[in-house]
Amino acid sequence: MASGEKLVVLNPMGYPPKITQLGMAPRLDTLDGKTVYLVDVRFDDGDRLLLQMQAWLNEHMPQVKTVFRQKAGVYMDEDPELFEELRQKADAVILGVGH
Amino acid sequence: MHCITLESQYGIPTASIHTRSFHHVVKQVAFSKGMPRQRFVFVPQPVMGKSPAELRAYVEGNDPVTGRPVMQEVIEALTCPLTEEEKQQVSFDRSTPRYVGPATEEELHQIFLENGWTDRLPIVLPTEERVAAMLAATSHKPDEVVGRMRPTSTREAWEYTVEKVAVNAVMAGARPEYFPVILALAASQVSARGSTTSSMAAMAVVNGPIRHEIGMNWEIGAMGPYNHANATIGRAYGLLSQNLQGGSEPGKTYMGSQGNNYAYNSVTFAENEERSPWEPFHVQHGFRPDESVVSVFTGCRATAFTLGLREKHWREHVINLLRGLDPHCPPTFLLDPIAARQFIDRGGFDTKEKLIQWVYENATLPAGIYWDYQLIQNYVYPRALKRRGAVRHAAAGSGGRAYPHVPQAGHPCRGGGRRDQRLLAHHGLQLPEERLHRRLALRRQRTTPPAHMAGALSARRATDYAQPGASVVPTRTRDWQRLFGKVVDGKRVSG
Repeated sequence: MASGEKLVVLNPMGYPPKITQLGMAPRLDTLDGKTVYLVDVRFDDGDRLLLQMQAWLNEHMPQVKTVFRQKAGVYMDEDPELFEELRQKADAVILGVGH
Repeated sequence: MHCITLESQYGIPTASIHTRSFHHVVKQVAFSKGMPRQRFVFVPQPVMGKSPAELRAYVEGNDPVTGRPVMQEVIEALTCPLTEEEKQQVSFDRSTPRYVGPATEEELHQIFLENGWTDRLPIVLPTEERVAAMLAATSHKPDEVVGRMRPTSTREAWEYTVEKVAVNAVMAGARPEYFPVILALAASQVSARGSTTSSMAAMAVVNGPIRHEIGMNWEIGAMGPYNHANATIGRAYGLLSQNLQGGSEPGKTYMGSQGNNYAYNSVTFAENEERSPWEPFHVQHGFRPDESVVSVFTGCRATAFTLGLREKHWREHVINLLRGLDPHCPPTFLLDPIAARQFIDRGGFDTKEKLIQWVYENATLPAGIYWDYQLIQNYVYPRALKRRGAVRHAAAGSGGRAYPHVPQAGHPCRGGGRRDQRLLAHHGLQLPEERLHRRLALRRQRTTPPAHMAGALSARRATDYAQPGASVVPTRTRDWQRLFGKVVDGKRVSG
């Protein structure tokens, strides 16, 4: 091939899936008097971090009710039973670590 | 991911906590799942293994990405009204142009390198002529969809065609006669560039007549850089995985903490069927000897080695070797034909099943040690729990232990019953009796290759990790059988 000659080649990338935008939930005016769940997804000692976070909330924001839960299954699994509990009882959720 | 579900389906505001190393990953995932403005809070990496005091410092400290106080961000994530930007409709257009160029050869190599389309080694540019020559080796049409692939189960799956597989095969330097094997690997939909912090790689083992037809190596040096077919088929598997799944970029679509040198060609070789004292791997799993099959293994990240079996202490040597490995995945023995024969001569294992059973019975370790491995904690422990959310801790105000699921006075060592039972009971857990003493294996979701690819070389999926050798003997617990993916019909693709 001559130097400087240009050519066209094929793109090696696959085809990405279509994305549908999802809406975010409305936020609370305040956490006072609300129930905040801290949910551990069971990954790499995340429960220990969330328990520290819960302790911080209990110390600094005693008007907030905090509930700690561990999601069932491996971190990537959904937990419909827990999520339904959250729907019924949680005003907000702090979830970690990761996923 | 779960926060996106809670926000969009349950209407609950969330604060999603991550470590800083996943900063780019989580933003990509949020975008791909349709919530590009998801609210994140980051803490330092790692969380794993940190003391309560260190984690408390994380909580009271600053987000390492934004520099702002962590708890302030948590509270704001839950209470600050959605901004106009967060409510705005976002464009998700992501097209994949068919062509690259026109550009000079040198410019194209630079483009491929900068786009992360290579393994950072020189590639063969995929001109239309070269790709057409590759496509001539299969009866499948270029625009036929082969499947979908993703770096991990939590990421989006990208789709690819036969032509796309051929493009990557050309880039790897493969010859057209290798393409049926490469296409079968692509049809497995198992990525050789899986993203896991444990840096696992894949392994591909070829059985049947095609080994001879395309000149693969199954003898001395089979797993080394000494054979064109072995080398380029494995390289093609890696390239097609990273490119067809949407990328394998460290910090974004690849999170292996150390990386893995096996990934350069995914330990691709042919089995030495002729010198194996047992049935070939594909025959063991239901194929005819005259069928050509490629089997995919994942979880290749740890290798232990010993040179043959000594007469006096071979049992202890093998057991020690196995106990030194992470127990999350069952082991795969790769045996030199001489070593394979020694297992028969020393232990009487005239079938693979007998050797597998011996390993199952002897490669054990104390339950407390087993349950304490991080991968077991992540992947087995949650599924072993009899009760959902076996550890629950509700605290309003003060009261309750900080770590109710951690025994207060160390592990139990006295009392009736088996130690593993006592240990689990101490944690407030119960396991069915028949599972207490077993090495628990992760039940994998079976993948189903597209029906129209049934004519391709069979692609099997297994989950194992490799040890050196030339014959393949998967060893497993009884649970491991459930790890096999779906088997595609073993018909050979006609040229």
